[in-house]
Amino acid sequence: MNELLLELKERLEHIGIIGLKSVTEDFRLKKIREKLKGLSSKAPVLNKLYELVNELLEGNISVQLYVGLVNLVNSILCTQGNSVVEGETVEIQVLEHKEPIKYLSRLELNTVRNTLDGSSTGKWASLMTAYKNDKLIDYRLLEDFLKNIGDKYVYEDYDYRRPREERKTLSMVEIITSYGKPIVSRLVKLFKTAQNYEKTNIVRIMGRLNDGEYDAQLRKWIDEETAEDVIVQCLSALSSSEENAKFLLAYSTKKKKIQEARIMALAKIPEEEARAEVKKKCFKDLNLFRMVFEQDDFLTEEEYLDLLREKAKSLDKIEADQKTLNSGRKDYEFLTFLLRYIHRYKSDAIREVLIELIETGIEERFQSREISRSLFQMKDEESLAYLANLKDQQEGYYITISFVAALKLYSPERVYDEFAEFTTRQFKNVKINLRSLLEEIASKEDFVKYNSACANCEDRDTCASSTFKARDSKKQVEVAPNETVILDVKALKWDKRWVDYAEQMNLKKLITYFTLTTMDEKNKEAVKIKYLKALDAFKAEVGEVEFYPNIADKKRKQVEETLKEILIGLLKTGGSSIVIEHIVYFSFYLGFLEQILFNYLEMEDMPLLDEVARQTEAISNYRREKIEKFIKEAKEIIYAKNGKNFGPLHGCQ
Amino acid sequence: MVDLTEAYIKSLAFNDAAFVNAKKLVAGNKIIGTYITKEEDLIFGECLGSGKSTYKTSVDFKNPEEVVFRCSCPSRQIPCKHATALLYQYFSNPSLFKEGEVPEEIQSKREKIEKKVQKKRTEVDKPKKVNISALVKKMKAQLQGVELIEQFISECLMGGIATITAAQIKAYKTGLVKELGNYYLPDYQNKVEYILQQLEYALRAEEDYKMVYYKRIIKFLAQLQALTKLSKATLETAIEQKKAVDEQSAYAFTKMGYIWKLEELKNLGFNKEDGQLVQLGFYDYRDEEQKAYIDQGYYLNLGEDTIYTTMNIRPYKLVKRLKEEDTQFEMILTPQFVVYPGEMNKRIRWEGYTTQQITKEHLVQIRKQAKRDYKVVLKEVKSQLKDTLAEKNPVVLVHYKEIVQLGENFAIRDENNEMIALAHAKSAGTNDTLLALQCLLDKEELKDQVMLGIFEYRPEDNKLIMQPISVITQSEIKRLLG
Repeated sequence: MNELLLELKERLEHIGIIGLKSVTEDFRLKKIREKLKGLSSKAPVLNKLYELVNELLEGNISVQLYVGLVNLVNSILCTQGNSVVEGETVEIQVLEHKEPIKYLSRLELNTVRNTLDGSSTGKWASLMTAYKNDKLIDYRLLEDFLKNIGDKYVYEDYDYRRPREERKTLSMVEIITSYGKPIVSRLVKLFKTAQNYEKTNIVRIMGRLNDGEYDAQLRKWIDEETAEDVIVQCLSALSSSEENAKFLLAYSTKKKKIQEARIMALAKIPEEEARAEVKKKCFKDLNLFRMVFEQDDFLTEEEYLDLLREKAKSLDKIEADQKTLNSGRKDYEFLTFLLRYIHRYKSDAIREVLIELIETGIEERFQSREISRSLFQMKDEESLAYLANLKDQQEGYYITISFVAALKLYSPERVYDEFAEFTTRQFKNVKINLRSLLEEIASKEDFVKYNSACANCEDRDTCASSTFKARDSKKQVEVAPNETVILDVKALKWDKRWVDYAEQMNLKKLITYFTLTTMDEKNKEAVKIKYLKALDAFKAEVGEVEFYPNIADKKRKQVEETLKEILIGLLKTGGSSIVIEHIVYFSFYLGFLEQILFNYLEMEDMPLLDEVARQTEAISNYRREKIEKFIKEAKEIIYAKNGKNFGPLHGCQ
Repeated sequence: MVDLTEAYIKSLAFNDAAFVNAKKLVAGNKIIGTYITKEEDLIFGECLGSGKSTYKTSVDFKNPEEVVFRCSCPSRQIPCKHATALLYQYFSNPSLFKEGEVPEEIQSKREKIEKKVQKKRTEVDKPKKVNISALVKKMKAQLQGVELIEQFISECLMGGIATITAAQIKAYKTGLVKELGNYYLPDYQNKVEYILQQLEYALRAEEDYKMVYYKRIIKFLAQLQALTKLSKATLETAIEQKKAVDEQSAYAFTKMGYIWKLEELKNLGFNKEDGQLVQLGFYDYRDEEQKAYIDQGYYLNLGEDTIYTTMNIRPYKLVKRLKEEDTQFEMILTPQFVVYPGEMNKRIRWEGYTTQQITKEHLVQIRKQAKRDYKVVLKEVKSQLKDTLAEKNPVVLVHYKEIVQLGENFAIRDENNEMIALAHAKSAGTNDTLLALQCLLDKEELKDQVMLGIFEYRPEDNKLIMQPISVITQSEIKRLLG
């Protein structure tokens, strides 16, 4: 009966669409009428239907009649609706709620839903906010998230004040995974109709939730699916089990990506056969080895050591003159990679092998001296002591690493004493630049990072975090994390040494620093004399050369810089009268006058400004105007600070 | 002073954003100079805004069921975030409020309100005299309007809806739709406009989808015709007998889109005293026909077995000015609520209310009201569904012996092993809740619980299904929908 009613409903709809005028000729409706006639005796409602249809077909074309018939059919159909479900009984998977369930209000749910309809990073920033406010995990939202399961965007919290590892990431996979295992049956259902890019995410989620119970399903998909990415994800989602080991060992494919995934999956399984297969493949292929090696339990210390020896041995066979290592590139790269992960295996045996490799000269094949760097990463006293002694080899790189190792082991005083001799030498390819290190220490009063001095050092992070902090006259030296040494600057009386060093290396910043702070009068005088000599030399060399104001003129800039340094040095060592003599003299040619004055202004030297103003009368209009303007502004600042009665106090002699 | 809870304040807030912003104002110490009267029926203070001057804001509890929010800010939202913030400030730290006198300004406003209340009471006691001749004139105009609609239906169906051209649609829009505005039939106007819109969609749609639109239009035209029939009969009787809306004609007038005043319903006896209303389900949807967002809630009045509906209709044009309803986690206590004429889930409304936390005892009472015999339930549902003009998604509170999964489908069983299929009732505009059902229920809750569900008839597979809205356990209401 129901079929007939549906047939009638359909026919009536059709008639409404094409128009009632042609209803009398509708042969399909006539057929239905015949069927209804046959059934009319069975129920009064069918008889009623028959009568109405008959009336319509007989030419009583009335909208009222037609509409009444449509409504009646719809009403009868509603009463026919059944509410029975058939099929095999399945156990319903539910969640175990350990904590009371929190319900978002409808408006809160709507906010998340509307956000999901948005696009790009704005959407993810909002989702992250919702996540942080605990407004994302509500089971009523799960359906909405599943609709977006193909979304591969991984959002990283935009808070760059935090270290990268502490920054929270959020993705659709993470959100859905947080709903737990009950969603898996839904995911499996979804998989059937999903696109490949959605399938990969489905499998990713299952992989995260898999304790072995989804292995059968995953294996089935590995066999059935054709998309490479999906199979790769399925392989990586497999758990560590004997059954999976058998499956994976028997599984073969020609596709490289899948082969790699297979090995990665096998590497998770501790079965002997699985391990053997992994090693067999990995030892031939560094890329594969690299991927597998990320998993901690892949190699035992013994295996690691054997591999290290083996690779070093094969490297040793290469003729000594083949320094580029083209012929042994693979072994070289392999060994380099092994050395980078040395920190996983810190033992005496490993140290011995490394020292052996350094002493036998194998390390010379490595451009960046990976072996000594690896030894440094061992971070034990013996290794560091060995490295600290390497400076005697007089090779640039060894001095570098030796210096860093010494910093970790000894006091700064001892380090300075031991390494002072190297400061005067020039080294080629010096990776740690002592000069820049010392310069850095000196130029910044309270906070010095010496990471720049440890360029190319694997221990860069440690170096970067090592800081020199000054507290009054004492410097707190952090040679390693949580390891600090208090260094009393005054007690050390380094001034002389710094000044000598500065003279040798022409370190401008160092001079500036010490003349301003810790240098006594005697030393100041010594530095001043050096500056005066430099000034004479400069005048002799440069003379009254006219430089055009072309900022791209490298030479002009160079000359300006040198002169500026000399004059500032003189200003700060009490030679201001000499500066005044020369300042206007050079200002004809060079554009640094304001800058020097500005530096000197801190001393609030009014007479100097007056003197400069007097001398500028002789110079060109353009320069004069500029200098006068500056002097005016400078005086205003001084007046503002000290009042109009401010007179000559100090500085100008 | 009423017992304040965060949920209660949230329910009073204009919307979620207003509540969040109010909390931010409190956290930012923007509420200053706060006072409370000795009688504890008024709190007032100032709120720092972005400008130089502060906003004077107050919350008046003179009538605890009808809290009055006042603020000098220019916001059109009532309550604004400042007033909500003041209330939240009082809730979170009442010690910041010093004792103060009622400001004159508020006192005069209170008096005005009192006068209005008095006036309302008189209206209820002595119903306003209806100008019958004016009313008859209006109904005659309505009747004319209904006849125009009948003519429209006839034109559509006689010629066939597929033959209606874009030019004709345009002509109907500029002619008929506008004209209906003169016949006091705003609801019909919307319905005709909706049909024309669907016809436009059908014209633009691909061949396969055209049929979907056409079938929908036929069904809608048939319903509209049934409504015009009812309207004509009702209006003709009313004109003939020269009388206003009464108990008998109330249902028909409601279907015609009559806009009820609460007093009118009270006068006709469509009201109940001492409501203890528990929201068992809530959701919102877009109604293209009414051109509005509808916030729909399902309530049970403790001691009754009827599921009532609340509808907050927010027309698109006024959406920013009207308060959004939200999930109500607490019980509404109202001295009186009105019940609209209707079918199984009659619409209700109330004015003043306070809230109370739902206890386990309340849940016991709710569970008692659940229907246990599915045969009776289905009969009742079908009886409503076969009425062309009745709501097509009735909501019922049923007890289930167990929830079962058969293949990929779910169902509930009663003690006689009668079954009701559970599925997504798409036509109701709800979100699917079956996944939430699996996720939110504990294993033991798969048996012997009470479920609120919304029915739908699916002609394509001849199924009568129910979508779970919530499950009421001994300890809580598990809200699957919202």
